[in-house]
Amino acid sequence: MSATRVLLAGVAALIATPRAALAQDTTGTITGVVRARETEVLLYGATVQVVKTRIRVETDAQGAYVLRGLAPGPYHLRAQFLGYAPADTTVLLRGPEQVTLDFRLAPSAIELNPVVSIGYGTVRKKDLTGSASSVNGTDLETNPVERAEQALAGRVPGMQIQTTNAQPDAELRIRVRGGNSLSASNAPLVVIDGVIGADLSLINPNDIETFDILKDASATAIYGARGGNGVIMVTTKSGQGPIHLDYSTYIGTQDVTKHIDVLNANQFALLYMRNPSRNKSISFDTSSSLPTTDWQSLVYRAAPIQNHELRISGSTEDTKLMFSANWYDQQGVLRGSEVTRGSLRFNLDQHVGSRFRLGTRATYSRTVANDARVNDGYGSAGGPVTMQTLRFAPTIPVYDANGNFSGPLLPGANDNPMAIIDLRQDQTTRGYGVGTLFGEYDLVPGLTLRSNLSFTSNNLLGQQYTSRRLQASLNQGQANVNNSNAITWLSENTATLHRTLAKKHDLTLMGGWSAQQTNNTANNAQGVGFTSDELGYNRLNVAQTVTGGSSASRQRLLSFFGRLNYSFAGKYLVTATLRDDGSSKFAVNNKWALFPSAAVAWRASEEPFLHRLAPALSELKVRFSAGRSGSEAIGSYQSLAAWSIGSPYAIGTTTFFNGATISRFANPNLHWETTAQYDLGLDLGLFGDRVTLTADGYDKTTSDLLYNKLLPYFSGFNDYITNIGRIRNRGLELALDTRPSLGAVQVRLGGTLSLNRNKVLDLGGDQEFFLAGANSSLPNIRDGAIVQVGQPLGNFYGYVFDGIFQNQAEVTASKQGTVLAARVGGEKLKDLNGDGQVDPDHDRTILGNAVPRYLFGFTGSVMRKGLSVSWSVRGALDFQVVNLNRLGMETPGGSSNMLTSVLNHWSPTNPTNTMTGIGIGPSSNIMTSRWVEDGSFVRLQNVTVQWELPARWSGHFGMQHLRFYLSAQNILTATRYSWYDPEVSSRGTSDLDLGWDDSSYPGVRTVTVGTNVSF
Amino acid sequence: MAVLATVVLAACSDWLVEEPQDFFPLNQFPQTEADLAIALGGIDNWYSGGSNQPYFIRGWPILTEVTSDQTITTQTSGTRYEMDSYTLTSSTEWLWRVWQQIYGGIGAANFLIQHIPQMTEVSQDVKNRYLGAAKFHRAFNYFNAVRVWGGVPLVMTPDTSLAAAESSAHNTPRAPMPEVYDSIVKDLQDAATLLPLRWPGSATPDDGRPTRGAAEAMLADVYLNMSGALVGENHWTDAARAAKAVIDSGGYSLVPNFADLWLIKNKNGPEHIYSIQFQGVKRNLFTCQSRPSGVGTESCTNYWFSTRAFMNSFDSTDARKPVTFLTRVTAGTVTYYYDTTATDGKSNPFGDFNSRGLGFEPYYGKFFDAGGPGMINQNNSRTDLNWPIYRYAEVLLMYAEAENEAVGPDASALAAINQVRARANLPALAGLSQDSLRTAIRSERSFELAFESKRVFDLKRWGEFYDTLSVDPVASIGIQPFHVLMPIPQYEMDLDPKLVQNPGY
Repeated sequence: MSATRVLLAGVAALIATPRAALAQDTTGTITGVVRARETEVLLYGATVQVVKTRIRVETDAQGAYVLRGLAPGPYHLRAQFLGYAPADTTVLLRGPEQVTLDFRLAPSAIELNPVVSIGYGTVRKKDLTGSASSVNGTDLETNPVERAEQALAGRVPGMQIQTTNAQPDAELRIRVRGGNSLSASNAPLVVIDGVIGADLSLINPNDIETFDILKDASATAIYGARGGNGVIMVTTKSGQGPIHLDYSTYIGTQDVTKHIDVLNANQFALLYMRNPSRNKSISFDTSSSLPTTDWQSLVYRAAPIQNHELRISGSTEDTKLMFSANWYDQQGVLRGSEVTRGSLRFNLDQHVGSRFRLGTRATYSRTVANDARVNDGYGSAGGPVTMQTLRFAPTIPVYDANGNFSGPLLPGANDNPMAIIDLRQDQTTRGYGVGTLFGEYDLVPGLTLRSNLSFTSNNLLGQQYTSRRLQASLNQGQANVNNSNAITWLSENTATLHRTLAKKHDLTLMGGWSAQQTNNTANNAQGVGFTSDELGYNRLNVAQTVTGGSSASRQRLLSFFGRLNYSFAGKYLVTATLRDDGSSKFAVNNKWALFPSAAVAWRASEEPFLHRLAPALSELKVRFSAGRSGSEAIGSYQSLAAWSIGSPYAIGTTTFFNGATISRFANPNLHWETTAQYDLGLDLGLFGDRVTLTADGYDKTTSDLLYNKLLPYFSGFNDYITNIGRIRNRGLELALDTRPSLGAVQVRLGGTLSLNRNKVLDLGGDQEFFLAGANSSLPNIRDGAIVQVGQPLGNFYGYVFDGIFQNQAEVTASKQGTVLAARVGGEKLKDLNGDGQVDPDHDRTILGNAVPRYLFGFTGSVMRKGLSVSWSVRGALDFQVVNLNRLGMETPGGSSNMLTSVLNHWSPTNPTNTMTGIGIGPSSNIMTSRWVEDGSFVRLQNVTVQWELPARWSGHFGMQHLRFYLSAQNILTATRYSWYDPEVSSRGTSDLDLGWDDSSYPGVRTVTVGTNVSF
Repeated sequence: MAVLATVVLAACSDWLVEEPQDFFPLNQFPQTEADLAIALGGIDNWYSGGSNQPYFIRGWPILTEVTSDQTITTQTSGTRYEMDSYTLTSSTEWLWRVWQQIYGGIGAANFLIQHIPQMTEVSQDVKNRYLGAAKFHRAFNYFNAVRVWGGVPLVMTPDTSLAAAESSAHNTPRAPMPEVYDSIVKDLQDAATLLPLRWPGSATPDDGRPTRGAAEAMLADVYLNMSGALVGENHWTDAARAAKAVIDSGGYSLVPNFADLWLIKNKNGPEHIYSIQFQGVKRNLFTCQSRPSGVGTESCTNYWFSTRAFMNSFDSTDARKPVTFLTRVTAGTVTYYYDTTATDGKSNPFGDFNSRGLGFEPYYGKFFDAGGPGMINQNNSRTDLNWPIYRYAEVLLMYAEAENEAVGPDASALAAINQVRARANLPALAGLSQDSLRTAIRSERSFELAFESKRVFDLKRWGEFYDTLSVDPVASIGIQPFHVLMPIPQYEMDLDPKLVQNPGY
């Protein structure tokens, strides 16, 4: 307690506010409970506020509130809760006493209106004309996630949040209403406290107060050229109530969700010895019992996760302050992988006089990630550790007789997974600092000027070292160090006029301009040829060959924008938005583009003829919007012709690294992608908004796609970036939220459903193009995915696997030779057009699609007194995954370990049609339906049990509240997918290369216990 | 007010103008001699760079050596098998990979050829050298293309504007084979005039930069091909004159010991006229791909090998035989053999292909510099060995062949071939008829230049392509007479409707 006081005193000194409410002997306390009038239910989360001050607290799970540190005097208190009418009362505090004051709230159709951030302002939810979804950060508090968006999965209709794999620090793929673009990024714009293009992955999730996801053109057009993919508006917490100190922590453990069944040593040895084309320098005595090394149990572990957070926040009449410090550490279930993040945040809002306000939002975080090699290639690269764990021979012990890591079965083959873990370092350190200073001035009543200046520094340091003992750089050793810096400044200046005329016309007019500049610099160095492993990347100039490079670029954006919100009698709502964006990235004559939008809404529930239905019908709003937003998400300088410097070449025995090649010609026509979107929405509130339903239908077409149009190679170029083609996304979204009134039990149930249908309308004259697959992964399947006019993105394309050749007669009759040599016990391909021949032009077809046709989520919570249980279930239906892992693990008798499915290999006496014969592997360079699996899944994502001590107990220890919880993530997944997790994308987040599972990181189940205490 | 708005908007637009920070715009580069040097290095990168090691790192041998009768792949499916067995299609990987690199080099050369005459900051002497080098590279790439595919799109100016690219790229037909050859001859004649015998400061005639000798050697080769079965013109005299020019230049000589020629430390020696350079981070993979696996620390990927039949056709006293073929490998304390168990008593013969119905086959010896500076296992399976394009021995054989055809089996022709035979420890030829000398030269080429991507083109120009490969055990799986020309890559066919595919595909 005394420590707390010291801290509080320090904070008070920091903000230099004499009015900071400190607990002193002369001050008193007001305490009590807030109940529902009819049911007597204690209300959790109700606000109790001292009217006309910033002093406010929320009730705890027992409905109790405590206002401490109040100077003697009269107090006007107001209690408010969603779905209830506010209640006011006054009380006189005579001195250092404790006064008890309870509230009983009457149910009401008039909701406590939440506000939605819409960019350069907020609007009350009931006045919103566009499509936006909000999620309260406190709903996500007990989810132990590395980055905040992970917890949003399934909670926002129309938004897909997909982990590309479960490695700590792995990328997330986020889409709002499907993918618009082929080449440019489809990730939504993130705006954190007004900082455009901020990085959600690098901030503390618990600093977030609310997410507002802007989806339709009316909402996104205010961000013009960057709004086309949707916008995630994030507002961080600001101080509230008397100054208090919160400490939150959770610790937990993570486990692999699935064990892959591979052969044991005897099974492996037996099949190997039966393989006639084996390497005969290796032999096993299959008559004896061979010890099995279970590589999975060595490589995977129960990994700890922990999070600690200290928060000091509070407000006075003139000051709001929030300071938080956070430390997060997640070790990966795969030994050696880990992410650690420390972050600080300081948010301040200060009134200076009656007309001027200023404030700051400042954060710094440092994230250190140690990555295991996954989703990667084989060959001379030595193999990703995830696949080596499964493929490394089970007959080999971890260490050899000399205590060194055992080598592979065949010389030169891929490495021992434990050796890869131990002998390879891959560390990424990111420093992310954002500082914002803003000022607001009320020029005249109703007219506010605001100026915002922010500065962001994003620094990345990558350090890798591969030992001399690993195949990837055998007897050499290789170190890489790369450093990149992005420095951005942003200045935004707005004027907002608010007028109410004749009590019926409510008008808000906002106009402003914005300028932003980002300077990127990067440098890298590589050392090859180390004499020993000791110094690694810390001293790469020990290496024989050291090479390096640097690069620099700059982007600028200049924008003018405005918005009109007009409401007539609170019933008829109109919003019009316009943004004029200029970007340095585009060609000289196409730098500027205009993004207009408009929306209308009718709150039918405000019409007199519907009043008789109140409060059963508490809200009925119909919305329609139309407009355009854009995408400029391509690299700088793409419109300019260029020589790029940096190709190595040799003259005699000297190697040079500065060869110049013509990399691109000028495209003076390059301009924005434009997304035109229509949205029709309905907001329904029933029974005093105890049931709310939001439904939206949308149709958006993106045109002038930024697209790398192919050129014949004889032009000397591969392609050029240009604007062609169109893609359409249409969809439906539903969100339901219910808070049934069940006596003493508070229940909340919600659900979301999203359907998005994507279609490529035009590719600028091309009919289709194939996707080679970005990674050089062993199953070097070419042309496995296709983009075709009239089809959605994400289609897999190839031959149909048609079983196994059973006998020589079938082989002789087969005409698949030019595609895949026919042999007895080998894979048979289907002759789709029945012309007797299997050929690439006529016998390949669409094998599946990687984009789920249905996304859904259900959330719920039940609370009685201090005990609550909450859960979330989410799922995705009707999509496919290409499981390339199996391709490397289904060769019966192969020299690396295989899946147990090979035990059922084909033989003359076992005429199976699912597995090839001994010594016959799958074709590794054509795509077939054999690897395409159903990815549909339903997942119990989260269950949390929470218990809050009654205030009368925690109060004894000087605490405002004390909470404990037990939370489990990724508990159970129902799916037919055979590998770790169908929600996977080994080839990254592009919409063109989705749905490949190739050496992915295993799925992870997490169980944590946490506590939250507030002083 | 309007004026003010105009000024503000102009200022705004100025603020958005991009200024390149880490690359040169086309109109500002190259300006100096140093600029030209790195631009020329960029052309070199088309030979030894690119994704998936497309050209001389390994793509060219896969396209032109695996397809010959002297090399067989270990593979039973995949692209190397498709090449070897002539079951390839217009989509087979190495066709487009090599094509892409060829035209990348041509595009860069075209730009320099157009740009260099307009440069103001460098002397005429410097301009000549680099202009000659650019013309050499354009000719070399077209020569490779025309021998693989026949007529190809003849792009002689750079498509460096959007309009040019859009109009020409999708609308260019293949030029007839003679027209392509004529442009090659023209470029090489210019190059031979413009280029020096040796670049200033270079310690060796060949350091990877084109020289007069390289241009004349290639010109001789071009004339031989123009006089061959596919083109059918008569340029024997021209060929002899070009080869003679190289011989008379006095810049080159045979390395006395054939084995020394193939050591990495001896690259760019007196016999090398033009080689693709591999050094340091620029290392080749063709050595690895033609090495056996299962030979301890000298193992590599075992993708292709030679044949006993070819090895046995060498004279037993031929000094080239033990250098050309790899029949044993010593790694550490163990010696491995291609046809019998290793000295460790258990390792199988590394050349055992009984499961493919072949038996014991020897590997390549030429590219196997065991324990040299590029020891395979110390260098990520790559070595610093150069890929030879022209050696003096070939120039001698080209001279002999051209002279024999143009004039007859005269003394100079015999002297040229005998110089090569003498180095191989073989007796001199004398008193041969034109026909017998022709036969002798043909087999001498096959022994001397084995695995150097000469064989397939020799068979084509001698009209022996189909007859030879139809009795090759693997090629015979799919070979047809039309395979004498490879199919134009499907990728190009799809993008340019004006392209007409070679017959048969």
